[in-house]
Amino acid sequence: MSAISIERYKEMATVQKAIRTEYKLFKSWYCKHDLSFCISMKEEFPFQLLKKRICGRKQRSLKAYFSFSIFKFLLIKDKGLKVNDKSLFSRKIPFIAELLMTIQYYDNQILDRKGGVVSDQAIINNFKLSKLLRAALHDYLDDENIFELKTGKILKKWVFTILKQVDYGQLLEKNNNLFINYKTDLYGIGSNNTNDYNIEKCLEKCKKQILEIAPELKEKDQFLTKYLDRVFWAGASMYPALVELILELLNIKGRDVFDNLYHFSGVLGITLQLVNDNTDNVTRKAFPRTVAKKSEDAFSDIRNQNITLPLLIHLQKNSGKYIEESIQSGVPLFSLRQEKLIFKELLDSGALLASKEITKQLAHLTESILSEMVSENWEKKPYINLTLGNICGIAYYNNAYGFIEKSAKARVRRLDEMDKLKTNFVKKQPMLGKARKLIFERSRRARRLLAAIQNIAISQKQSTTPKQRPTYLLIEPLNKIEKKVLTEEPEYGFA
Amino acid sequence: MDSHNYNEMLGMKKEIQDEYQAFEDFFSSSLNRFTIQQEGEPSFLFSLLKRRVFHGNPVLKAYFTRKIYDYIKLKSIEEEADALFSRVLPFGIEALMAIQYYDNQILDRKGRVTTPALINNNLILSHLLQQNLLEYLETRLPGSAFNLVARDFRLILKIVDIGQLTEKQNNLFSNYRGNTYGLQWNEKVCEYIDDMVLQEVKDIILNIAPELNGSTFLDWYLRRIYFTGAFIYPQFVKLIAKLLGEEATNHRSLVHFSGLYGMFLQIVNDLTDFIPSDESAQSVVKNQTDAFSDMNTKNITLPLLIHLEQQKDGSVRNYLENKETRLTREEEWTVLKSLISSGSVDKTRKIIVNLCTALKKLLDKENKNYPLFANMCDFAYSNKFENFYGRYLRRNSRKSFE
Repeated sequence: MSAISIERYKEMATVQKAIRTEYKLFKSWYCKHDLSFCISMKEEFPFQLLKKRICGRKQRSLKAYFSFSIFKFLLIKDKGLKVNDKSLFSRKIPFIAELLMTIQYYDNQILDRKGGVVSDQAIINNFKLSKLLRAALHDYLDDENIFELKTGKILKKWVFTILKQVDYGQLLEKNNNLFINYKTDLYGIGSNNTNDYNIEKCLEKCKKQILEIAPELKEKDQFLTKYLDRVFWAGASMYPALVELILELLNIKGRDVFDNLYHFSGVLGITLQLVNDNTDNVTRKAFPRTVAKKSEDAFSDIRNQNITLPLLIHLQKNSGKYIEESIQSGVPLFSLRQEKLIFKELLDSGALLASKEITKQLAHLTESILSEMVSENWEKKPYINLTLGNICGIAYYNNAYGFIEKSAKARVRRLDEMDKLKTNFVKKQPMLGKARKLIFERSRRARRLLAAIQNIAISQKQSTTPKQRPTYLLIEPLNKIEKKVLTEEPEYGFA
Repeated sequence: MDSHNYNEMLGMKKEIQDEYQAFEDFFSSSLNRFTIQQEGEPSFLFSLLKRRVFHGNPVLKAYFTRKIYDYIKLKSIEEEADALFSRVLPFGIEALMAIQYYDNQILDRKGRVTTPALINNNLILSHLLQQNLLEYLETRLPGSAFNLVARDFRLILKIVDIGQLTEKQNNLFSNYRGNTYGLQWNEKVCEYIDDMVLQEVKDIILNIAPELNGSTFLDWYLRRIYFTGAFIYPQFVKLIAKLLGEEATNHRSLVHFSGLYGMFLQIVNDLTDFIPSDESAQSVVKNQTDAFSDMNTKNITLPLLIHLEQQKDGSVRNYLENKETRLTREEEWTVLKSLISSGSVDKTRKIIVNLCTALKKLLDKENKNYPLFANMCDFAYSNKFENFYGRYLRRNSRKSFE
């Protein structure tokens, strides 16, 4: 738990507990009221994904926690704030946020063929569950025994705005963010003309940050704009929408509070979405499995020809062709070996590391926006920094990022070793024959190094002096060149 | 369809085209946060709805909605009517149908919606159209009317969803073969079934096809088609009555008529599915390749059910048991000929005609709209299948003569 504050972790656990209570209430309401429940022969609650997301043992729901933290922030900011029904903010809205995420996952599993949703039957099942859960949510918010009429109306407005925003984002992805759009610079959907100052500001800030770290994207300015548009609507926009919902329910009207919180939550949403796009690009061993994602979902963006930030940087760097070929291959599932080659190419081009760095910088930006909102004399400033301020912790450290860093370091070490060996080889060529037999039998690693030396020898023999650092050639398995040496699948240092 | 009906329908079409334009303008205005402009085709988001409204086909459901209002108010279509009944509701029912078609194309792999890209597109457009429709209606209607309309629209969509779930769990060949059913409905769902309508249809069916007597599958089939196809009609009658400030109970026979009319149209539709692809015409939502989609998805409809009860073996059963891919054109003809020779086609046609007769009996002959409603029922004699079947019989008699 290196970058996550203990304070935040504890609070997340408390919020999770609260939304479990709300889940039980929703379930019992559903079983009593909703028509779709009345058709099940087994009388089972059909939304198992919702159950797993909320009741799963290690689940800590970020969106639920975010909405709770915003409420708490507003309470600290304005001590005179009157709240009639605290459970609305501490339990109900966080639960609704998770329910919205579940609906999105049902759809997303279809759209990206994730979570094992590939067969006709599974697609139809998800499609129906998504529709039924949407309808149930509407009726739930309509129930005046649960929500006051005015509250229910505000909730309905924002809940369905969020779903619409996400649908719109999905539409953008499928029409503007694909490889074909990247290649042709032609887009299915024109600008959305939001004329919304706050949205423009969020997107501008993020774009500036991205271009600082990856200046090569300036050439693809239009694609980058379309990508950020999609990132905002498909994922990030939910955060500012939750803020707007909470402000409206609390009847807080000040423009400055709204603008600042909007920027904070907008940039936060974009950061987290970019983290998500980065973690899609690790091999299945390190892929962050969740209740809605399986390890086979690794590299789903490449499979779906969806060009996300790391892939965009990579394509612009024009370093290696394997990824481009993989995108165009239309393969429904990559083998482990293919995954490793893709990952290696992303590491070698530096695209994944650059994209990872961008999310870190954006996390800094989020924190600075928050600290601007919190005046120095706030008694609870340290608490806010440890909770809401720490919500971007995942952009600094998560398991997939750990794996990327470890692999990148191993890769650098390997390349350095190769360089040294190459130099030594020229100097000590006569000794090689003697040492060879000894080394070969003892160590697999040595065997691979030896293979690499031979590789260099062959390439030198053919007088093909590489102009750039021979990254790919050096770790290419020897059996491609001398079939007798290696018989098993080669392992790379970063696997 | 006589020329009077046809002209009225053309007028209706113009009304809902205007309403569609207002709907599209609403989303292009600065009021809306999500203006979507696809280069070269600004309204692609609503493309299916647009095609339904502007295509050459008649807007049957919109027309039905307006005629219900005329029937209740004893008016004719030429007379002035509130825009709610002359435009908004007729447009609304067409939009609801477009949403259902987006879903249906995914569920039944129709309209060539078979690739991941097209499935994704339909999924998103279905959600967005539903949400946008309700938002539009909220601005278009007064609060009280909107609440009634929105509640009923959502109920209709939910009932159709339940019907579609039931189809996939209880109406397939595997259910027929094993007489086992994945879903059960409890009392709350059954409240939305009109038992009188179902009993009347069942009686008519059993009168013509007594071999179906005691069939549990037939009950599930009737329930399912009531939810997926028929429910929308009586619900619209009830909605119009409520919006006019009247009790639906005052219009029992009209509610009954509309439920029966929905069942009648659904059975006609199930028979039309058996027009072979080389004979069927393309429509707004269906391609020629959608012919025999019930056979291809192993969905047992009335003509198939009658046939299977008659013939315990043969090519149709063999295809249902073993065929995992789409039927070829030759196989489509083999199935059709088997249905004709087993008498299933003629029995279904007879059932449709008897339903037409029963429908007319429910109407008030004194109402000035009676002839137009009666003419809508004569669809039994002049639908796509009847036209095809007439051609088929003529061809065959010519061949036998030669």
